[in-house]
Amino acid sequence: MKRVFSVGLIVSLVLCALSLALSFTSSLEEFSESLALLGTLTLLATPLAGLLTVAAYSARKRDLSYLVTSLLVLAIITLSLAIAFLVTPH
Amino acid sequence: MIEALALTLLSVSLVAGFLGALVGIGGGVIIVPVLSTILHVPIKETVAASLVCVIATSIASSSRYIPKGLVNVRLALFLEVAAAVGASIGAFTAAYAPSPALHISLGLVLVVLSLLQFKGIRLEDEMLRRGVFSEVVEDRLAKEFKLSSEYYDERFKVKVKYNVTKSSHGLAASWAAGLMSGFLGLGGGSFNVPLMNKLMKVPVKVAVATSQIMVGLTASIGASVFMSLGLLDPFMIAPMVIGVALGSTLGALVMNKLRASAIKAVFGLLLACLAYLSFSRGLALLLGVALPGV
Repeated sequence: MKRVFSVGLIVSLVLCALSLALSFTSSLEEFSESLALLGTLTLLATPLAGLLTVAAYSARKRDLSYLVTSLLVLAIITLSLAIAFLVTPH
Repeated sequence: MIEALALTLLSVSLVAGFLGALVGIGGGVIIVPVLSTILHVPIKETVAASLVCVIATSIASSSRYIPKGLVNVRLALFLEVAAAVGASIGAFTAAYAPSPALHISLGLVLVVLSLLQFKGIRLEDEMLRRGVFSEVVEDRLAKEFKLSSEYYDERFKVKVKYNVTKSSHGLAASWAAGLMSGFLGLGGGSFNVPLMNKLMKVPVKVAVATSQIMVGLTASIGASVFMSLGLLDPFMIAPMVIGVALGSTLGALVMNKLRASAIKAVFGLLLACLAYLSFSRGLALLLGVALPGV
């Protein structure tokens, strides 16, 4: 979990720093926005990736209560995202 | 113009991250009121950006706490079940709520948080020495989900065993903390820590570390909802994430050299000022009444 967190944070910080540096160059504004978006997505996905590692660990150890809680949290998050994308006018 | 805004966002989030690290909370309580009332950034965009900053501070702090064995992941996930539901409802409500309602709610929550700073954290050194935490009677849910645990206290050089109690009350309170996080873009750590410590009898160090993992997960739900609704501005995020990460690292470095009570008093006063500004802005938007200083 710690490794997942460290990697996620470093990658998103690098992407955000690059985006910030490029945002001062008007010709690269679109690229800068894409990098910022990628950095944000990485940051959003990091806690969820950590949660997945916990679920995988508890499944391997056959720890039922641990597995149930981690899967329940994952299910709630997935459901929230699904509802959010469904109610958004595309 | 873009450069000036980016530098302002970087500075605000740097200060927020720094102060947040000094008092052990995320920077959301400073970012949201400062951006929405002083810089006049629309409050919904501010809430969304603040949630992303909360994730950054949560991940950074959790990486430090996990190797020390202070995080009770079982407890975090158990409470997160309720907090996640609250965060989703809060984020959806915020996305469709009128802005004055958000400003006024933020002002009220900041008043409560400001008062909590003056109350301070209970001294529990004596409780640790006497092993009071292991004498707490575990409830049925805590037994079922194996929530009780132990950690090594570096200050007293002892292994502290603790039993968790009132788990169902904890779930209900976590739901409320999650709701507040999704609705106002705050981490919820300021509520999670006293909840775990005072209600569920978890030692404060474990409560702080466990809360850090929880706020990251809760904020990621809220931020994802805002992102899907098109309220997350990537241009705002980049300088803010860097600022808050730098600020919290600097804050963590100087934290032990400053007097805790003085920091908390100054922070409490700052929150009271921000509460006034948020409340006034809400009233101005709702009734057109301009209070002094706004």
